[in-house]
Amino acid sequence: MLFTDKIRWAFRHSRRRFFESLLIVLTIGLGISVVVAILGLFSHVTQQQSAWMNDKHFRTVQLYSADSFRAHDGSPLKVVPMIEREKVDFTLDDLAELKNSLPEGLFVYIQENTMLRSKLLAGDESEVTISNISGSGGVEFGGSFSVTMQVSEEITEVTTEEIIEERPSSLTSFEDIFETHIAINQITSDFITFNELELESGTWFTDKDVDDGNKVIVLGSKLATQLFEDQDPIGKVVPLTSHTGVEYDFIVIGVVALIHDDLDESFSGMGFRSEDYSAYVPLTAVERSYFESDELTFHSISIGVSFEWDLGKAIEVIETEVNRYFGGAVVVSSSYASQKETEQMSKKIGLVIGLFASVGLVIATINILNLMLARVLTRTKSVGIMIALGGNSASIFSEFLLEAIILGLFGALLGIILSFGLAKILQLLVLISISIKLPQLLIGIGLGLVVSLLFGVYPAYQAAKINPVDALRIE
Amino acid sequence: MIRLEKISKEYFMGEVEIKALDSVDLAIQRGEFISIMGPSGSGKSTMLHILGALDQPSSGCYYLEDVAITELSDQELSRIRNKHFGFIFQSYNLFNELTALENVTVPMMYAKFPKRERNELARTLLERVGMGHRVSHYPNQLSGGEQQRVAIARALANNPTLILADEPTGNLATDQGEEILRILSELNEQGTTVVIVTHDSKVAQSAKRLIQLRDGRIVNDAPIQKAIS
Ligand SMILES: Nc1ncnc2c1ncn2[C@@H]1O[C@H](COP(=O)(O)OP(=O)(O)OP(=O)(O)O)[C@@H](O)[C@H]1O
Ligand SMILES: [Mg+2]
Repeated sequence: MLFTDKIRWAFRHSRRRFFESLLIVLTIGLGISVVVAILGLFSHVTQQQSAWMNDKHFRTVQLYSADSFRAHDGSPLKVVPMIEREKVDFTLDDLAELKNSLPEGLFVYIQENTMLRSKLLAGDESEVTISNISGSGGVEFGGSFSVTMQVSEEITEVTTEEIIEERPSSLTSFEDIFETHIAINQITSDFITFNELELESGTWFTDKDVDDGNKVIVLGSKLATQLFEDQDPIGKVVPLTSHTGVEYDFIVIGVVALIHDDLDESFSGMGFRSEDYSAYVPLTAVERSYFESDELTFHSISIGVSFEWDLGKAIEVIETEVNRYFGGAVVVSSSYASQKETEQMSKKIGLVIGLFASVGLVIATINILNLMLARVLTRTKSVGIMIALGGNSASIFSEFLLEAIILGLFGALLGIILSFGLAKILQLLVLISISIKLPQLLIGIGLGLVVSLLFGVYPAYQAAKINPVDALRIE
Repeated sequence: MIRLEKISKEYFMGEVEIKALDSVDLAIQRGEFISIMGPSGSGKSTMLHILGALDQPSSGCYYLEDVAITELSDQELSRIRNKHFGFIFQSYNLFNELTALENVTVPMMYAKFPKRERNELARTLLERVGMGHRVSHYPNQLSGGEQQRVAIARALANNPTLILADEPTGNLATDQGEEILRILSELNEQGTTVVIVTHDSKVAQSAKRLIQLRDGRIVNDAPIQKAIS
């Protein structure tokens, strides 16, 4: 028989038992749709994993004193007691020690962020659009909100609209702060190496600058333009007022290359300015208001894990070393564990649903196998006639199997269509993202084939075994 | 054309041996019209099935044009059934899901004829058995006699060497049975070899040679003397 004839014949038989065939297709379709959706879920989780594994933020580990640290094990329902321990304050010696004892590719640094007022900003009225407000209001961090509200009534109509339309009023305060303050990163040298900060001009400060607390500053690209317009900023003085009110003159020694090209990013959604508006100074260059002890100590140490390292392995190495050095008084905190937890959780949920779907599919397959066997039985005489007219056991086998495969493929097709619907519904109902792409679709079709073989081969074999003489005796 | 040598067919019901055919010798020439008669259970159908290569004998040799059929594979046998034999059954055995025309095309489908050619040939064959006006009817929309005529058309599909009919008139009223016999005689006159199994001696009389079976043996094999009217 020609292949097209076989297919036409198979369709004929399926159409003849249309309702039964429809039910079979529907059953397979439902099963496959769930499986494809679950595979989509897995693929989404894996994609996300590789996304955050490549994010420097996630590759940074924090060391904290164990006394203040509430260990988070990822389960939101469990109340974790504070660990009762002696407080550890990190010193520059600790930093140096860790740096020495940790292997290559782990960048140990301290980073503290602060906002420092600069006369250079407050004095330059032309630079800021609504500088007259901030100037007269004397904006401070806490009071800025009310000031803005109060002043906005005095502004011309156009500007009011601008403020209302372009940013939520509560965020305006952050902008006001940026009109008088500079975001300062107080850092040690490994921060620069880990974040691969390139310079547009000048040089970075050295470890010695950090040790000596030299008053040097490296400006973000946009900040440099904001402060000095098209003049060369290198060698210029940036006056900064510390939290205790002392004013220091910082010498500009470098400008960082532009990080975010996008101009609109000057304010990101949360109201923070991009790194291009911040500046970098040696960790020890500015006194800090919030620590009282005479010794130079720090709240936390950061360790950046370079991409050569497997993150999980690196964290193990760090934990071992930190435990050796601090003896349990310090905890290693990272988003890795909780990320892994979330990821594993969704994988587990997926696995359970997938298991149920698979069991369902197996039950369905057994049922369909039963139906197909019944079909063979009712067509026993037909098989006898077919053999009398020129068929043989091989052709009978292939014809019955083809029927099963056609049902399976239609089931797979329906399953794929349904899986997109299922993905949409899950996205709407439980905010689970599912990405169904070619591999999942191929697996869906493959699954349809496998299922159709599972329920098709045995009945086809039974049909091929039919003895034509016995079959023709049936009345 | 066809030669059976010591063909036996045995069935075992537990310990008991049933000889459906017992060492049968038979030769059939091209153009013959043979009727096989015998009591129920004498082995008529078994003989027809073996003649049509649908059943294998337990022992003995079967030559078709000097080819030993008994040596052939399943695949080769199916090709021989398809090309050389046309079966007609008592209960018509049409495919209920196919129209008259499609039923006739099935043997040609197995012979890998293209669809257009198949349909044309099938139409001609249906016209030949007087069913040209019922091509797109389904079997359940046809009378018994009409169904049997479609079955004859189907048996003729690949221009077979031999037509094998197992009680083709058994389910039919006399006039319809006569119509079937008339068609078969006509085919024989046009050169087709026909073997017909029947209980009915009147039916047997339309053949030219009569073979009588009893307990799996040929007890009588003689030409039929047509009454000169
Ligand atoms: N599958 C089988 N198993 C056992 N015995 C069988 C089988 N098929 C046929 N027989 C026996 O073989 C013998 C011949 O059967 P066959 O069908 O050829 O008879 P028949 O002459 O066609 O009879 P009828 O006129 O009733 O159709 C019978 O006795 C029958 O019981
Ligand atoms: Mg019989």
